[in-house]
Amino acid sequence: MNSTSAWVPYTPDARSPWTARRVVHLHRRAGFAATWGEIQRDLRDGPGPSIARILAGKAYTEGVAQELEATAKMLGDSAASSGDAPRFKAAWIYRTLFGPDPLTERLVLMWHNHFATSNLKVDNIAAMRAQIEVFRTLAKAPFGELLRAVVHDQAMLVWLDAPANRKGRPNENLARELMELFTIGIGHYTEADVKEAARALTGWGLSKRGLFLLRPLHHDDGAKTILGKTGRWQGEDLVAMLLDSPFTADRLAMRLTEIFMGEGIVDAAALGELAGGLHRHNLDIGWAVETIVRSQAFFADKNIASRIVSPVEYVVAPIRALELFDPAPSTLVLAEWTARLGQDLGYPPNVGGWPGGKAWLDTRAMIGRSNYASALAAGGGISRSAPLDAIGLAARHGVKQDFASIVGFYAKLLFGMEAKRSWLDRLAVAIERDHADQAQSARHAVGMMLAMPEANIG
Amino acid sequence: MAKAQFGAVQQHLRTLARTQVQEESSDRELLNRFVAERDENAFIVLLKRHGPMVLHVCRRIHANEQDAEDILQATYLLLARKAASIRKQESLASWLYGVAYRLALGARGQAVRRQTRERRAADMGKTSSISQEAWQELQELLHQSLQQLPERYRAPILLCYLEGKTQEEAARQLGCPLGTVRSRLARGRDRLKVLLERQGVRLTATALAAALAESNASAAVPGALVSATARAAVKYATGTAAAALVSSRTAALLETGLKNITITNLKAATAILLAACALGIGGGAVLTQVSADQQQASAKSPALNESEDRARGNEEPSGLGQNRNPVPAVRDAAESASETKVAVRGRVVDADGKPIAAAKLFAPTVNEATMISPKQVVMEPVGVTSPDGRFDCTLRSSGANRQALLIAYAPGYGVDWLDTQKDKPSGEVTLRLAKDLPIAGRIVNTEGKPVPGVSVSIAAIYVPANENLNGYLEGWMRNVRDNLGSPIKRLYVPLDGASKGATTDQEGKFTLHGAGPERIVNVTIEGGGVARSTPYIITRVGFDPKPYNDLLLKKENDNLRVLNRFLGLYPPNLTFVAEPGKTIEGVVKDAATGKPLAGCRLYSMTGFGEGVVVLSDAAGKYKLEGVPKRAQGYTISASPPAQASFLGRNVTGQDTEGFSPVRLDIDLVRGVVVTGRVTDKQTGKGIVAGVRTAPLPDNKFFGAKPGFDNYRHDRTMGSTGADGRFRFMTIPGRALILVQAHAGDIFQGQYLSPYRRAVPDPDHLGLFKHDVDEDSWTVTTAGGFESLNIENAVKVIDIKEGSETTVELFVDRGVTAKISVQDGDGKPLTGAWVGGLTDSWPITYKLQEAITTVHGLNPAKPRTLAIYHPAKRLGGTVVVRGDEKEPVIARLGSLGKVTGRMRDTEGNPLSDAEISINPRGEPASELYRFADPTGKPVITDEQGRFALDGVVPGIAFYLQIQKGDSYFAGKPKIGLRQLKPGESLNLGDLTMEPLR
Repeated sequence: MNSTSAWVPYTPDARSPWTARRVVHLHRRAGFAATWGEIQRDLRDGPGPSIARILAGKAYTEGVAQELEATAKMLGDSAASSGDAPRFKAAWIYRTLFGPDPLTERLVLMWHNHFATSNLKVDNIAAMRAQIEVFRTLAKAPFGELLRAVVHDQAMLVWLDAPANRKGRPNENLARELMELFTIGIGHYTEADVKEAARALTGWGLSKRGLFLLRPLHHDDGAKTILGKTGRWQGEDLVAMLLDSPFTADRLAMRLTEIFMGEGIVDAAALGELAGGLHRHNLDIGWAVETIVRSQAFFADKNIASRIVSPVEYVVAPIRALELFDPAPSTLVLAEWTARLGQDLGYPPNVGGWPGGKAWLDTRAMIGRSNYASALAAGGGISRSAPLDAIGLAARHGVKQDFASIVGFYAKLLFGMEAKRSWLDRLAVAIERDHADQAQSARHAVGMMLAMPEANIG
Repeated sequence: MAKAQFGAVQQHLRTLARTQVQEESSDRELLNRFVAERDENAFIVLLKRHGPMVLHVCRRIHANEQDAEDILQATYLLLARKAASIRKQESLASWLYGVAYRLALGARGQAVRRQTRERRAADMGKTSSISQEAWQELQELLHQSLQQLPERYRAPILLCYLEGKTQEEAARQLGCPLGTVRSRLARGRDRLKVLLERQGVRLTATALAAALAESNASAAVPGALVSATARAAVKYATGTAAAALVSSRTAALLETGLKNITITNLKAATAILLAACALGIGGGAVLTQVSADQQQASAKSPALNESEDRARGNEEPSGLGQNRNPVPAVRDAAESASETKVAVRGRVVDADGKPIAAAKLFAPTVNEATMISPKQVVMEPVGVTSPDGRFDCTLRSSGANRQALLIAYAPGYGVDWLDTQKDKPSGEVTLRLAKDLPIAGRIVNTEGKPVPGVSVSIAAIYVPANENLNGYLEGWMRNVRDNLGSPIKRLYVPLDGASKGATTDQEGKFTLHGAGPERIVNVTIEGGGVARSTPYIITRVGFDPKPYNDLLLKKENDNLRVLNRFLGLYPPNLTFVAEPGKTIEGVVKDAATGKPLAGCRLYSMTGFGEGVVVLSDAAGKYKLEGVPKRAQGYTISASPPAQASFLGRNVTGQDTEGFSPVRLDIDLVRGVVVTGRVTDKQTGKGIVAGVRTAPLPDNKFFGAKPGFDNYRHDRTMGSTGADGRFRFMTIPGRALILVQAHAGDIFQGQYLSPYRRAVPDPDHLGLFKHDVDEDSWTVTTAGGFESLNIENAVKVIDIKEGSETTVELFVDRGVTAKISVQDGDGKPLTGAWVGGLTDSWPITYKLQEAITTVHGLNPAKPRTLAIYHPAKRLGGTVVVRGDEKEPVIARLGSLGKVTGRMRDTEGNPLSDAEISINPRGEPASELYRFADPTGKPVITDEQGRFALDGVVPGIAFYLQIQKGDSYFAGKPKIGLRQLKPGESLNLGDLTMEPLR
């Protein structure tokens, strides 16, 4: 990578120093926000160790559940064996909220959106959970490994009607989405390619236990012409062909920049460069993620506060930042909130996933977000047995007990910035009526800050 | 011709053709026209064609007319949007049906209905007849089952039954030959029957046809609705926001529809019935309510020292353990005066037969006048064993409180018990205590954190056959539902008093003692802010529940798992993830005056035959806590105190965000009183019976006030006293009054009804339709339907407003005859199983004697009994009329055999398919259900071959072929068969095609 590349590694300098703003940006963009202690730690340690921790899945040390793996598995098993969708979502939120590795969880959400499988049709929580576990295990693997696992995954095959795709009676769903959404993208194949690809995928089915199997009787073994190549292609050949295509790397680069970079931040050249790198690196997602998160572009001023945060990020991040770990909010209720805000885990709206970006912020969602902010501060609305102790948290981190200092603390904690003069005035006016109760005032102020544009754009 | 001119002519011709042809166009043509040209007229034709069916579905599921119309609009607007993408192989009727069904369900919320019908039903095994089911529920089940039907069978049923098309019309619309429509209709009906039976509903062919026909949606869609919807559709299809076009309600529904939410329809009544059967409510009744005069009518039992034995018909098991809807028992002062005592003596020993000293003996007792919760059961100590393990104790009964159960417990052991009612001990009894396997678990919340302060107690214990879990667990793997009923011995008493319940500590841990090893233990988890949950624990070390619970996830078990919140099996060292509980609170008021009503019983189902129950306080306030969150909402059953003149009702509350409380105020309305007497026609004496009314279709009061639709929930019911007198509250207007006799005999340990089934009211014959195949009468009622299979009397009455209505009702024993069971050599045979000894409750009895009585006969209608002798592997049938002088000889012969080889339509062997006998006629099918002579499941081998041994000669039967979730039928059909004694029928090579 040459020195003019957008992806050259970030090193602090006078123009872009290692500040709380960048630390908070790192955690909001590559995770779900950090606690005050984690921010201070990263400020001390500098970008190298801080980014390394993110990449190693050890970014979070505060609020991380003891025996996380065992508990997450127990909650996941219990959800799967109950077949109960809310429990499945809650167990997912649990990992996101209490796990040490936010980067992987961000990628799991990305793959859930990329492969956009909905339980609405799958109607099998155990299978949905298994698919999400595949995303988790292979989140940073070379994409080929992930794709091969996903196209044999029970939930995916049910979702795209693979078992109905038989010789002489093709069902094109899997073939179409494989090309259009999972790999090369629209414009890089023809309708004829879809038909031929569907033939290559005939005979793919599931055993009684939901395991992938090839039913030779239903497989069309004849010659097919796919993307200009003719042969007696099997499903695996099709997948290999698609993985080889440079357009797949383009699509993956787009996906990755969608979650790590702000809207319109990455130009075509940089995107092409990233795609080229992916292509050369065997579509190694881990390589690409590291390249992005270490890059100058990632830490550039224009990339900070340039991306609309998704409902899951919006719901989970403040719980972490505000250390609302004990008592914890109900993960069932948090999952309900993300759904209300437009991101119902396990139920993407269609094969295309969630539109994302500005689409997150329609009027209803905006009202929902501000309701969430006040529910979170009050506690009851997230089924937490105690309200937010805004003064206590600030005090624990050595903040003076005046209004300006407290607001200043939360501005830094939540947004990595100084409180604006205008906020102070606005907040002061809004909470005037609470003057009798300081704890209430501070809580109310934090609730309002959580509903500000700065909270929605990270 | 110039090009422009040609175009104009063509356009003209097209318009002409359209007006003529449109009415006859196929759905697909009309849809295409709408998609291509936004042709409003095409859409109107579709609306008129299928709209009535859609409206009908909506009304069925969602009684409110406005809602139904909103749903109709939403359904058609969705059609407008999605017209282009409806799959070709799907019929439009089906698509509309599916969408309307889901929308209606979603809009309604979940209407979980509580069942308070006679517990007797539960005694009788899993069979439920339609007359027990409220019609609405059946309809919903039917609609649900229709949803599961393969498209090819569903489409003709929808068209012919729900849309009232002729078969010819259906054939035209579906674009297939008439013969195909006919055969698919027939197969669809059969499949539907199977699906319904799987849900625990047995329908006769006529009942099903009637159910479907009643579904016939003849009412046209209002013209204004048609045009408004069509106009909106055109605009909506082109992208105008729905809110601008239709009511906000429709818009909201549309949003739901666009997300295409599938909601599993939940069938409370069926499920509770299932649960009740599965868990054997009544079978192990621990407390029963019997009034003083009933006691006086009782006979003395020589087996016990005191007058413990009662007229068997007086028993009305309350299924008290587990709070399976205990009925409020109001104790009468006069009743408490009479007290009875039963002395029981015996020994308590360990597994090796060694005496256990200082073991405690308890008799569960309820001391309060009104029973609303199993928590009211007190473990009254009645004795302690001496050093040689002996005890001698007395059980007392007075009024509503009757001690029937004797429980032995010693620390370190699992309890054993004896039901003095059921087991009828004579002489010295032995109670055997096995070394205990404590249940040591942990409760965590959905954040994995321990939950302290949760109460954990043993609510019920089931002992599997042979006191060993192997059979139970194997049975589970074969068929979860069938297996649930397999335990032979059940205890439904909270053990708290004997062996202490537990409360979780700071680490969420608890330990329960006394349940015993190799048992299925139902544990209640409640309090501490968690949702009341009742998991089942398998007390075996190292038990791995996963394979068992995986089976529960299959679709066919949805109503167990989702509706009943059946949580599956757990090991004795369980970690239980408890969800937070919701609170439902409100005030119960008199709808007329607004005055609060105290003492009303409020009930909300929480799980498998489980619920939370409270009484309203003096201010009418109630608070139900620990209810599991249900997005579909909460149904609360409100039952006024027995002496109040209010009608109970079910009310549904919407779910609230997160775990914030649900507020639900309930208005109750006064009913009118029906009194009378049920008399045995032969003896002239009053008998114990259940009596209920079913409003007729012309009853204008039905549904007119809150609670006036109770018939749908089957709440308008009363029970007679021992003198046959009854008095209960219902709605005014013309109604059927129906009687189910509870009086009867105990024959070979099972209830036997000597009464004949109900026959039509001679003054109103026109209301009754006869099902020739199944020999039962059916009546259409207001929003319902009755099939008189288990009723013993019926009459049409006009219930007055403002005063009491009195009715005299008679049940008829008909005549009896005897049969003599003999082997092929004419020697008398004991130990045979017989189906058909009774007219009502036609269950199977095992005979101790060779000669036995056949009840409820009518010489004009001979009955064919089916007999099977398991020890000798003999079987046969016999026809009995009732006017025979001598016992009718039933000569048994060797069982028959069916063999064959099955292939699928592609010529591959159909291996691993289960072949079973599906007999025609109730006596034979009951016989096979109870004592399947084919024994182990017959499975085809890898060549598709099978040999089914165990066909009772003389019975008519079909072969049922099932593989996985699919059923198969022969191509050509195998048809109805009948074997001679010892006959071996080789069906040869068969081609089978899946029905699903």
